[in-house]
Amino acid sequence: MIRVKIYTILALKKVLGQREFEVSLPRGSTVKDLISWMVNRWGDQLSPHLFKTGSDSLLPHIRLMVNGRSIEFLNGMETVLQDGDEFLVLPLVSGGC
Amino acid sequence: METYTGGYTGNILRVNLTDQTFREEKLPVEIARDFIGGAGFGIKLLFDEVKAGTDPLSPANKLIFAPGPFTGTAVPCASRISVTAKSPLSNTVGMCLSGGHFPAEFKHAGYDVLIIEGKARKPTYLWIKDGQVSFRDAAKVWGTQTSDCQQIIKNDLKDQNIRIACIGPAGENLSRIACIINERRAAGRKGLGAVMGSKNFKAVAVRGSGSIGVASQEKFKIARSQMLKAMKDSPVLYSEFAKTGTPSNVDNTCALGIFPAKNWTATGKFLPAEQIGVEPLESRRIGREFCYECPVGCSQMNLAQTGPYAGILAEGPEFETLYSLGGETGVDNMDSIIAADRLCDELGLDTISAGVTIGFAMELFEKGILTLKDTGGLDLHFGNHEAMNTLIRLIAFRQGIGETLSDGVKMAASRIGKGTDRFAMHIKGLELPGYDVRGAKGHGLAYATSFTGADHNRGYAFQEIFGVPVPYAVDRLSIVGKGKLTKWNQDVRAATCDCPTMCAFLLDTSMAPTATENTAALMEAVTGLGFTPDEVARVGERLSNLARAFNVREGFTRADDTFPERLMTEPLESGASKGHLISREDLKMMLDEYYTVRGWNLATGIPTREKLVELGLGYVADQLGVK
Repeated sequence: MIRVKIYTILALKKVLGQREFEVSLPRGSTVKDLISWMVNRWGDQLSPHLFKTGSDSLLPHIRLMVNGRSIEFLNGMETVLQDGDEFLVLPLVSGGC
Repeated sequence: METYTGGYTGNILRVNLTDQTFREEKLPVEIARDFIGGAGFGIKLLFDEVKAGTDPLSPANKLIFAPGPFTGTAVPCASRISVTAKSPLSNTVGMCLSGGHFPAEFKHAGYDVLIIEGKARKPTYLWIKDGQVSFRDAAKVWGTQTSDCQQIIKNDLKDQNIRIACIGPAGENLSRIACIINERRAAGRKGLGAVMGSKNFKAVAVRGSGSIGVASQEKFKIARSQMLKAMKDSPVLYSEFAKTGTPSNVDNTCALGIFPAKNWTATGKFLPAEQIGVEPLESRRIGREFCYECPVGCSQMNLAQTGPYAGILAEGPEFETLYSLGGETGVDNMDSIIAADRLCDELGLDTISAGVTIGFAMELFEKGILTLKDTGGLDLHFGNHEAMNTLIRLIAFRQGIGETLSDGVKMAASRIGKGTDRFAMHIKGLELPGYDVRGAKGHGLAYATSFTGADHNRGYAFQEIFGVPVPYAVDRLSIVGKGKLTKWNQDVRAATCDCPTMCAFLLDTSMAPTATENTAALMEAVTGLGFTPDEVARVGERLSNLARAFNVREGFTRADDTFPERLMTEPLESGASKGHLISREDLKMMLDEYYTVRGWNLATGIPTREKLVELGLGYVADQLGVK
């Protein structure tokens, strides 16, 4: 098993109940596996924050990062997680002045 | 012959404080076409009229107020005004923008531009009502805080609907980190409040009943409705940003490991999102503020609840203030930050520069370089929020240790000596805003190359900070392609926000994909001047080059496009950007790419004649003597 820290903010934090926490996953788990685990854990509360209505496609503005790097610059949903990784799942935020 | 038929009043008001005279000039259509308005007008006039080497606090410096062509019309979110002068903090172009209701009132009073020249013999304020201009004795308001100043002037002129831009004691005392306040909003950075103070110029009060016509009502309705639709279609503007405002970025940047902390020594370690992010403000928020013709209302009114701060009301703190008076100083007491924010507004201090300067002093205190003897008994350990509030007052009034710190970190380090310049977090003299660029490298390049010094508003990399994939998605931790990205961010922002004085929040929340199209459509509808989106972008590029040329004329070169030592040598130790820095080699590679896409000389960073001529700036090339 590996340990991965999940970190989130704002509306997603309210759904998950805390800003950061660790989960155990089987070795070789991918980002896709972790998202599935999270959906199983929080179900209907979480899904509208991650997926388009009636679809398993992620909302375009959800940012998923492993150790601070967006997964689109890694191996996307197939990115394999390592023991000790930090997984960021961030809703859309804006307004930076 | 081409002319504008709406949007602009067509009038420039030139005021000389020395001999208390004024005259009106016509706004040339060529200037409108080449620079649109706002920052464009300000920087064009600054370059043409303020000679190289001018002392920024001398009568020869000029202070230029300019709203945009849409300001005062029903175009949403065009409610801003630019203020431009040579900065006494950085000796570069000093330009910033402020919102609220002053800008539209200024326009309704009859002017596109106000140029302030000279120096009054005694404290003076200017009163402009529907084209009537008078010089008023400011003895009664000299020394007052900004809210008192505004109220006294309204009472004296017997009109509570007057709008006023003024300085507080910090500006009067020539603090180079002083700002200009209108209502509770700030033209905050680059020490423009000190420029006003140096001229014995306390305030400008405006009242106008004029209306701003548009060239084509039919085109205007279409352009406006398209803009409103883009705003409505945003997944974040009304649903999130209107509710939480900029403080949500504390949570965001803490998650990304780029919320700077303790004078940039503890980024990624000190993560106070729970204490000074969105959640603690929810119970303190008592209302929202809307700028003129803004349907969003992102500005929050917050009431401090605890300790000696209970009952203090502030508009804000915004994200940048939560960084500077929070993370940067190690303060995680929300109520003390609300109080400090209000105090800075009242005294007329830029919250970013004030906070960074205090953070700098705190690091020196922790290192033993400053002692209790130096600080007059003030314990400046990181996190001491009471000391922070005390120090703000000392800075504004140049008292005790405040005298040493009153002109920002660069001058403070110079006064203190002992090698403290390596702890002074600034670029070209302007204190760093709230993103640790070791984890947002394109954003860092924008800081390094901004014509105003370390300025988040000159090329904000929302692609890195918020993941907005416009014009394309980027890896925030990579240096590849950041030169091209930075040029896009600087030019598009200048052309679609700073020149038309549109709210910059629109760019990252909703308008980025259609920003140049939106500005082009509005320009044609409002002013009658036809623009293509490419021509709009060209205005931004022209402005970037002209502002760069101003700085070149002042002696700035490629060597000045750099970072504080810490960012290039000390990797972040923890958080989601752990291990990252921008090494000298990284910076060199990014600058090489940036100068190449800009068409600037690689060795010097000076715009080439070819580029300047291409942009219609041949006379600038002549002045610079470039080949």
